[in-house]
Amino acid sequence: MKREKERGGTPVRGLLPLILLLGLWELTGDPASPYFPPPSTWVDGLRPLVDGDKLLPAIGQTALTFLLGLSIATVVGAVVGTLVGASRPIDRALSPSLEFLRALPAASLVPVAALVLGYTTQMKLVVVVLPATWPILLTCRTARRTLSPVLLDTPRTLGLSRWHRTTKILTPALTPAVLLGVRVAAPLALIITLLVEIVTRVDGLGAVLGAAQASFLSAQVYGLLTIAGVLGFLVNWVVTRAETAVSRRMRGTT
Amino acid sequence: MARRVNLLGAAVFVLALVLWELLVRTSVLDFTYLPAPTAVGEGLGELLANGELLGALGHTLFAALSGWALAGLVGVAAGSVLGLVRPVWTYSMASLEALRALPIVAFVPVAVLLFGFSVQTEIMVAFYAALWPIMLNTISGMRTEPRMLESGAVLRLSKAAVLWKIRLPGATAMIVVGLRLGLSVSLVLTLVAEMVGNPAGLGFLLVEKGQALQPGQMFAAVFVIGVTGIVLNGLVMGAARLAFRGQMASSGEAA
Repeated sequence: MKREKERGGTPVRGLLPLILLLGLWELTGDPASPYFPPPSTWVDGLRPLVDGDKLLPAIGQTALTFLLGLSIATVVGAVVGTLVGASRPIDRALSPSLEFLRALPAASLVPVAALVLGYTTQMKLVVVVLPATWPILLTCRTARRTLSPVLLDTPRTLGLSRWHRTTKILTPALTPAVLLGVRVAAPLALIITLLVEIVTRVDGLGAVLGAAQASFLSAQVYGLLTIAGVLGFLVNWVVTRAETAVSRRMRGTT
Repeated sequence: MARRVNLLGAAVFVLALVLWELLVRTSVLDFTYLPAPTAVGEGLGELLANGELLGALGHTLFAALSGWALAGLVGVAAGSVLGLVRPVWTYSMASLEALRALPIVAFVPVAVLLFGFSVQTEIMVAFYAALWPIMLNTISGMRTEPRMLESGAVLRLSKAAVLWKIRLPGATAMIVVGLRLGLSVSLVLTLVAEMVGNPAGLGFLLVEKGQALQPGQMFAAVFVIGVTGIVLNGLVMGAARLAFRGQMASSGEAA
């Protein structure tokens, strides 16, 4: 799968049906339709938000929550994953609890966090961090567990300090795994960010989207959906790129 | 396959619950609406006693499973066509990838707009969410190893026989993975649709108990949701193991 992607991935020709569909929609759609407003009306639908200076701050809020949440999740996931993976007993002791927590759907945490922590930005962060941590933690744990013993003995032979062992051996060896986890976690974090915003209506793109739906501004809903799609696409593109670039550089170590 | 019971793990789990109980009782963890585990147990009892829980669970399961089953049919069929017929793949895969980039939750308000506050909204959302993993896994599952196809040619199998005896069995493990992923996302998205759209089922129960300031019952609902997810996943795995014994083992999915 991976090799195929490097050979150029999916052909752009494949966008044809989507373009045709949107074109057809544009031509036959009724601008006043409450369900399927044609694409040209989407921009007009967004206009009130742009004029009211609401769209950019909303995107900013969403981006901030997403980035902060993903960063915290990366650090927590990498550190805890490495520690849990390093010791068999700790792994055995914690895994049932971790498995159960992981099985809780993020969606069900939203109302809980809203009730316990209130409708705040911290609440948003907690809800984003928790589910985004799992993929990173799990890949990191597995990578640490399967790390070649030679790699761990080398610094001991060389008499490296604990600090150098971490920075020079562990970090480079585990980075690809962490990035793989981040690649899975990033789209998830974006989805959860939007989800919290839609459900709790606390700032951000999701809140605007929810409000537009509640007031039946269908053209605006589709416009916002498109923006969310572009965000999703960007996030995917960036993480995939970063992951391939780094794992190519590190090919020797793993 | 006999697995040893992880006593240590279970002990830690129980210990964590006890610690939580103590911290709440002693007000070290001082949130107004954070219930202790015993309060959650009581909440569970209350929800069971007044029948709310089973009704909501039934509704959510119905919506999630209908959407998932529909997605299974459409996803496996469409995925097979996309995986087997090269031109179709060339001329539509990029569109599908563009659509897939749309965060699924952002689609929920659109579904509410289109289908109103109804169970259709839930089923549509569950369907849409589950469709992607099932379809994409089917597509990559259909990429059979050339050597297998060559042996089909050597044995002079007909096209139908190649599809039935080589391609489908080869794709089974991938399809099952897709179905599992699909089931868990369809459950999650059904809950979201219930929170945002249709006021019914477990998703709404959560929101409702939150607004009624019943944290015990609310956490109980979360617990039930978590257990439901685990049970459903286990059922799919068990069913797949029973139905496709050899095919699952061949790709290491059995582990």
